[in-house]
Amino acid sequence: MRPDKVNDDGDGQGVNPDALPAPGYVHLLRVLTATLLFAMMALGFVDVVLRYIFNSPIHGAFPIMGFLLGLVVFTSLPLITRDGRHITVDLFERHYSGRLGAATEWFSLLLSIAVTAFITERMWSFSLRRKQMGQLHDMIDVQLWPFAMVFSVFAGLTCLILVGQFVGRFRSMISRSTGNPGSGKGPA
Amino acid sequence: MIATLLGLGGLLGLVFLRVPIGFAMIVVGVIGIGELRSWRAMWVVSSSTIYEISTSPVFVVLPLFLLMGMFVARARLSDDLFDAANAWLGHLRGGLAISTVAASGGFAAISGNSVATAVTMAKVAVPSMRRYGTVRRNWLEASGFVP
Repeated sequence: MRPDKVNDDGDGQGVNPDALPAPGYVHLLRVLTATLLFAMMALGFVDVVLRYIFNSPIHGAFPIMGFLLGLVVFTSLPLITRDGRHITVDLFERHYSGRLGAATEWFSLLLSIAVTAFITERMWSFSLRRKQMGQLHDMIDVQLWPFAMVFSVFAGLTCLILVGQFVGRFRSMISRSTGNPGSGKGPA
Repeated sequence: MIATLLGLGGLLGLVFLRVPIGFAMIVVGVIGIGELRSWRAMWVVSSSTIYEISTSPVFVVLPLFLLMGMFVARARLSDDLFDAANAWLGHLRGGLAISTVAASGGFAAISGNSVATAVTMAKVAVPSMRRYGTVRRNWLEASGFVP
């Protein structure tokens, strides 16, 4: 990893997002995630003030914050995946060199693709089933299925990003083995 | 008992192979439910569990504490916190490590949540520790147990 791409926000992990060219969807997701997080914060603040000062809490604030949490988690998942900022243990990283290091990276990438594909499928079928049943939340009259469908879409986007990284690495490996470096740059 | 040990061993194995921790836990959980109950049960339970955990109000505090931690870091309050802790404890042997735990204790007194404190202090403390010359992750990990 090049030094200018090392993340400098304190934890020393991942890639500095600003050092990579960001496609349009990344800006959109960043704004969306920040807005959702701000909405969570604002809703929590207003609810606490109304609850403790005016004795009049917002009806359904808790479940709404739960929905917002799910949206924050799933909208930030593609961003974290693209920037390589998932939490991993690097305890034995120094022992993984050469082929072993490459093998662990391939293994980790393939397993991540499988897991995100699994989440996508599970959320999609959960959404369809809840839509058929017309199931509402226990505390407020809100349908569950749209949220599950949104979760599924963002999990699918994460899976696509991982597949893109897989293809990029594969092309890079092929171009290295054929002695044509630089032609295997992966998609963002 | 054997299934538990196998699950733990599998989780550690995946984690040490640099699989993201969250994904490793999903893999072990899915295989565990499938083997111990049935694969059909796993198929049903997995979707509702993913949805319920993702939208559980219990975990709402985590991103909000992270946000608060980022405000603290951007406002350089963490530098002041470390300066104060270092002035009190820095002269001791291992003063910076003790200061880190003390600063985490201060944050834990506010949040009351071990996970939120560990996550937030990891973001907040590392730049301050770097300013004093040393970053040791195990100090931060130890400070996560303070609450």
